[in-house]
Amino acid sequence: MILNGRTIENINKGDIRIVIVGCGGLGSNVAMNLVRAGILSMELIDFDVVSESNLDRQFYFRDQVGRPKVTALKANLCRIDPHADIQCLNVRISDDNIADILSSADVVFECVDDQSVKELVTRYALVADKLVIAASGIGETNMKYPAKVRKISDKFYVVGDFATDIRTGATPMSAKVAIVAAQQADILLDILKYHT
Amino acid sequence: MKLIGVDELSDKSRQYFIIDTRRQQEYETGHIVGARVLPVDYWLKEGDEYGSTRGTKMVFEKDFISLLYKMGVSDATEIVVYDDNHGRGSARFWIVAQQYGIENVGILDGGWHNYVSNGLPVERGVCKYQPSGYPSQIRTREYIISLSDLLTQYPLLKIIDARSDEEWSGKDLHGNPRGGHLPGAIHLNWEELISHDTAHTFVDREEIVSKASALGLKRDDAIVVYCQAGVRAAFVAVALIYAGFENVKVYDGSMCEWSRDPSLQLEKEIMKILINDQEVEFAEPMTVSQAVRDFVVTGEEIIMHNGKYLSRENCDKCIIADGDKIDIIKFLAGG
Repeated sequence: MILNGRTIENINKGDIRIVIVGCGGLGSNVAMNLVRAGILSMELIDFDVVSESNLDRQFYFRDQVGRPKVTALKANLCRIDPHADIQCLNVRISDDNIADILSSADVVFECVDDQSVKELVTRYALVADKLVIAASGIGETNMKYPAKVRKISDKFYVVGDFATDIRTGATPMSAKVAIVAAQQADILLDILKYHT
Repeated sequence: MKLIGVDELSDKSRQYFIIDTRRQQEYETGHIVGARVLPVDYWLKEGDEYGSTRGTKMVFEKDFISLLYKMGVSDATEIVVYDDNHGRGSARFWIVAQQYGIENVGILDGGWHNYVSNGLPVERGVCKYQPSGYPSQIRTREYIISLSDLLTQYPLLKIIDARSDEEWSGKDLHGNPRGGHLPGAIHLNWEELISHDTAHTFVDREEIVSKASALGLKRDDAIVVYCQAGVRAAFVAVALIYAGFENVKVYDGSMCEWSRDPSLQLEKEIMKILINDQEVEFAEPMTVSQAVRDFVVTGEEIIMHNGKYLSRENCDKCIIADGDKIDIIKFLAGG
């Protein structure tokens, strides 16, 4: 697999540029799973601050309410591994800044909440030939709406139940969101462990 | 059927009557020394290539013969014909000439381009004729088959389609109202019978025979070749005759005529496409946008075609093919 002109086999694991766009239920749990697996270098993108309502499913703590998600998440990741090398960008991603934010990425995790931003991030990353791991459908329980992994190409995966939509009333719940996030992280771990 | 090498034209002991089938203007800009011009279009395509529904597009026998004799052809003449379209114009001339009993016709192998690239002498200017006497007797032969004869003999015939892969499959309509190929036809793209060196000569006899055998053709089969309007078909027919096949004819009306008669069947390849891992069949060529119409809800979905991202604009341009895999990714809110 070629990432930004480099063959993945020739890239040092710590040298792969991973960008996590959105640090809510998906992004915070993807980052947590990667750091626990020894992937310590990544960039976090989010515009939001931690709120009390996030604590039912996102990897934050009560004393972090009010802090920007990116810095709170970095602190939590560094408590797992002090060597974690985390870059933070506290911005809302849009048409105007997406190229600046993603152009040097090798891997893009699409972990955004808003449907049109999900499309924006995925389209950009596909056109720019990144390894893209996106999500669609993360609500309710996994028993009722099981999450699947769709491998569209070697460099494009979408995880989710492809049915539940938060905008039309589905409830995001901790276990299901964690399952989807864990599957997203699992895809990259699988590629790095078995396909390089 | 004789193929004449370009070097043979300079043999002073033979008096060839050379006929150039290119356009008048090309002829006047430069032609083989002594050649007469008889553009293919003059006696092949009367009227619009696609608009005509006539059964035969050939010039009438009387007109063809009198034209040749006005040009100076006589009973004893040894004709050599050439073109600049890889033998198609010459092959068409050959078939029509045989049909009307002008038997002594050879094709210049590799045509005009091969001649010029060998540095052989050319001349410019208009064509001068020295008419000869009208022939005493004409023996017509059966190199052309009409639609009605084709239909009567259909079960006994081996039908060959000489067109491109896209025309054969129905993807390229070529101006016809319907696409596909004649029922039970065998596909032999005419381009497979030209050598792919710079001279563009006919491939060897052995190669023609081996290609034809691979398609299940035997020397004594009753073979009918068709294409769009009878020119590429003439090329394939001439190649088969050159390789020793004994009973080969051209269906002159070809797809131009057949596709315009709604009572005549056409076979099409059914395309099987995977859309979101579900098998969907299509009989007509269409764009990706048209193929995914029933699957798309918002129009904002991301469309992947064989693992490659397609912008909305390219979805409108890209034509589906058998075995394609299309994935439609619809994003649902939540993260």
